Amino acid sequence: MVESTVAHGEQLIRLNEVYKIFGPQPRGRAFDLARQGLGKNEVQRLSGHVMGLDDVNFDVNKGEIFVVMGLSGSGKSTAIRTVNKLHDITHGEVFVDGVDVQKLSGPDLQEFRREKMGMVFQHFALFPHRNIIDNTGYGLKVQKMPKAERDAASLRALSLVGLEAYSESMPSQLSGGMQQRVGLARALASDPDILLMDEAFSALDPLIRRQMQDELMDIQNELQKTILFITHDLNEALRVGNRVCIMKDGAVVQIGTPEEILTQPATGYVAEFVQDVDQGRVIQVTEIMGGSDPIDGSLSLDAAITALNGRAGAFVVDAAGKPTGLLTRDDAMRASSVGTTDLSTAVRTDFDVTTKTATLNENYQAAGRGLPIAVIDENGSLEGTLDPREILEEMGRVETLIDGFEREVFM
Amino acid sequence: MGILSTGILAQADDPPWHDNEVLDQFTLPFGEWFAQTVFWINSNLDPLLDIFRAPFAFLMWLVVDNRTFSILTAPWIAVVLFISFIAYLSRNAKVAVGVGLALTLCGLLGIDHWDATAKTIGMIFVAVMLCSIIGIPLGILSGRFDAVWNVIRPILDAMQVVHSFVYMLPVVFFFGIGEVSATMVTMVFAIPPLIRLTNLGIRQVPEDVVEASRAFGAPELRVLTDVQLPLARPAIMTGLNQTLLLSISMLGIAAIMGAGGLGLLIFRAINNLNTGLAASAGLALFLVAVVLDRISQREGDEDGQLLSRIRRAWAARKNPEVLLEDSPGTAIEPVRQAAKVRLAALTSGERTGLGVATLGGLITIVSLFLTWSNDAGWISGYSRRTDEDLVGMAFNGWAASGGSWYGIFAGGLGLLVVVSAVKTFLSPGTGARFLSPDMVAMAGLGITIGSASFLVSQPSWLIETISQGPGALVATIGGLLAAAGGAIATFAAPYTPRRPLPDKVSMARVLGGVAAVALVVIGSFSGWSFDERADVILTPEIRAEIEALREAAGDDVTLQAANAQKISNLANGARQDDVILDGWNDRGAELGLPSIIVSVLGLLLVLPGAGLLGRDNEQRLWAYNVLSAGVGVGLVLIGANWIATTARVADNNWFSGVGAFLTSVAGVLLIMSARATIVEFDRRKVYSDSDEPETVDVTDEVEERVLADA
Repeated sequence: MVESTVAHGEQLIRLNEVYKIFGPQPRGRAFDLARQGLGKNEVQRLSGHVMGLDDVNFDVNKGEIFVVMGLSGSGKSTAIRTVNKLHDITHGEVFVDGVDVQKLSGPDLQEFRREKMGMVFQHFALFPHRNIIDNTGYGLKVQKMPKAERDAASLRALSLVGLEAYSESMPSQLSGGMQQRVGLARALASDPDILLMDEAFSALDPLIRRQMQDELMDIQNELQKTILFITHDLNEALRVGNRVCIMKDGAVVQIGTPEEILTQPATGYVAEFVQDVDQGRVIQVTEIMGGSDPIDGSLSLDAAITALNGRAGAFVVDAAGKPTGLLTRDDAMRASSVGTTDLSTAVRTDFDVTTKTATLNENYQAAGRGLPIAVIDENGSLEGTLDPREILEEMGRVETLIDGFEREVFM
Repeated sequence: MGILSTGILAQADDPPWHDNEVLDQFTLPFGEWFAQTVFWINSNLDPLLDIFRAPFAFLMWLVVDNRTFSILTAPWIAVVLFISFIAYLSRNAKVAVGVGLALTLCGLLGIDHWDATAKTIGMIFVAVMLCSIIGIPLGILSGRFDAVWNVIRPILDAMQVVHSFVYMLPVVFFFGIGEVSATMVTMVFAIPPLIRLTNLGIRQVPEDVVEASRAFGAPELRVLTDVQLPLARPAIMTGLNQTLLLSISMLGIAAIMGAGGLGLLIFRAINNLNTGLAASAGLALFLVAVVLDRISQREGDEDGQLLSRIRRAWAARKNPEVLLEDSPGTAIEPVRQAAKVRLAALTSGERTGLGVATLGGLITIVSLFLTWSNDAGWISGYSRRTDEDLVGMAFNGWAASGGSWYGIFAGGLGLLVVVSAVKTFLSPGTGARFLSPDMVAMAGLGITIGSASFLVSQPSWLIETISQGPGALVATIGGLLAAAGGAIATFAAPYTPRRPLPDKVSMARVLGGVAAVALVVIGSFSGWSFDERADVILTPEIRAEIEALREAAGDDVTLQAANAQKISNLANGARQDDVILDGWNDRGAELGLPSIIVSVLGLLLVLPGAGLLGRDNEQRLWAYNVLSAGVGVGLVLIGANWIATTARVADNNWFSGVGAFLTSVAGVLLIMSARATIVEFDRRKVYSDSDEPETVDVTDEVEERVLADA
């Protein structure tokens, strides 16, 4: 369930066998117990120490949004803080761009933090006594950039989040959503490779949160940063993440793409989470798409009925492979009974079209008509068909899946 | 030694172990040990003690003790202005003015009081400065490192639990009596809250803001200066304020230890049972405490009077954290959402009234240049023998023997009338609230009553050739014009209350008015002056008798001695009677009755002002309150003019009396009882949907800028 720790070219951040234990003697008995594989609760009961991270391994590739998701106390915030050494770790290695962060200290560490990464905090953590432009330019000021240059860079970052008009305001004059935009602009101002976002949107109300997620994805499309994103909201994780890491009690439970998490939950714990997720928003058409097996548009009606071969319906394609219509068995039989031989009279042309990467939700309404949906590629050629019943089935599938697990977590 | 020997050589008839006498035989000589230690340190570690003493002695020398430029040698006005300026920087203009007035009052209590005041301020300044030099860094270290805090905390506990008398003696032994020792003892007592609150302030900075600073690569020093210190500032300021209040409360002990200042004055007054000195030094100390407290207060922390604040500082000195709980914090005012508002234009009645008042004000100012008294001082003649020699001279409004403070106050108020009236003409309702028609009326009434009291006062009986010039009469006429104009303008001004006025009669105000009358009556029977000059007490008959005795003695030495005895007997006999001159005395200025008439007039104006004659017409209510406050200003001036004018030139052994003071207090009562209503009223605002011409735009700057940005 845990991904391989072997490095390959694109990796920007790598956590390798990372342990973090809180307490007066982190390397003592508590660490031994943790190495023996005891869980967080056991270690705490036997040693009085709190285990923050328990053998955590993951890689973050360049240019992806990697989401670490878990409930409070799962160690996700501790994990993100090991990456810029706001926390020291008890054991293990944390590599960022080939550098072992935990071995840095003093001016080296400060320079590394200045140049490599920006951080966004759950409660914004703006400096209440500085105005917006000074807040945004704080990282640059620490880098000793001259004021004019710094203000120009800050304004650029503020314009990315649409707040350049508020540069002279004080943080307390802005709403929560605006403050977090400033937090994001502050992290972006020094143009770092990596963004660390610690529950960045969790303190915002749902509507604003969604808006901010969209903005983050827009900015990501534009700037292609590597983002380590922490959240306790699986919906958010699946929405923004290229890959998702689920943590519990300091340990990694599962790492995978949103689809993998949804369709193949590794444990009952994950499955229980997934139950509450709106499946249709994440699962893509390609997961449940059927083969196309189209009917050639040049066939006669009778030949087409033969080609239908008992299926409820099939798409009719032209010579280029583009779908021109939908032939259902009922329509074919009705046309045949009045003696027509022309295929085109039996074909309906008001069929629905979708693509492989569309989500199930986007096809939910079309599925309601009860007719198959054509899946086309970028050239417009038919790639497959989507059975409306499959969509509805898939959306209800995970619930039955959970019953299959023994609910080891919650019992 | 004696203790040891009795312990060792215990006799056979020892008391049983449970008897209290046993305790005497096994006494632990802790006191001896301590005394020996102190003695040893004092005789062997002198250089070390000098190192400790140096910074205290140097700062004390710099601020207080040096002869070239210190708070003691600087001109008093420079000290007052400098401290007011500091108050302006740390707080605002209002506090600065109050600080200036309070310090001036300390100076007016006498030169010895001013020296003591300056010295006290200097000592407290040195103590607080040393406290912050040591306390703030210690607090910062404690806030950042648990290890430091774990060491410092028990020390602070000990410093606060052990009574200052305990460590006072060793300190005196080491460093001698005087300011250095006193400052050290004060510091031990006053520094713990500063360290505790600085520590707390650093610790309560939100963790994520600190992390944000670190995450952007700030070195630890920058984390401290960029984030922790600015956000801990309210707590540190509270700590400084606490330190200051506790330093003030230590002044008494400082005086015992030989430090000078107001504490010493009070200490001396107690030793000599000198009630007068105790009262005046106590007043000065109180004023100094208020001044320093106000300067060092946090913004928006103005609730509570000084005494209750010192009490709170005392109560909370073990755990000063509680003082932060109701702190206003670092919240910054949100953007104000002001609508576009215009102020009501001048009415025609206002124009007329303000015009008349301006004329009156100018006449008053002109009256200063006229003669107020001829041949001698009309008022100052009471307090000065030399006024007898001024025959043939004329004195103008501000001369010591002319109008003196009667003229100066009248001229000042005249200027205020003119400025207020012209300002209201030019832009009604904008800017400072007090430059308004109601101020014109109040100042006008003040001029009228103040100048009239000069007019109706009786001249000193000591001086035979004396006459009033036209000055006071002209000033009174000017004042009448200004008062009448101001009253017309007030009744016509479009002013409305900000909130609905209370809809019942304010008995408190009526009582205030009655109390004012009562005070004035009491004042009229109290002394207006205490005349203890030997030659004034002597009536012309006695003086003739003394002269005769002197002449009779001639050059005969024995007769001279015998007659000198008789003369002093005569003088002593005369000293018994009539030293106190009350407000009715025909040898006083007889200002008692006029004061009573004025105060009754004030009461008559308070009644409608309190709402006794109906509360429907808010405008009237306001105007009556303005008029009664104006009468109050007049009463204040009757007393203050007398005190100030006579004090300006008074001979030794002549003092103005408490009767005049009570009259002034009655005036203040009248002003205070009307003030609450007066300040409720503002020029009516006209919102943009009504289309009155000639209006002033009052637009919020921020609003404009936001619109421009959008």
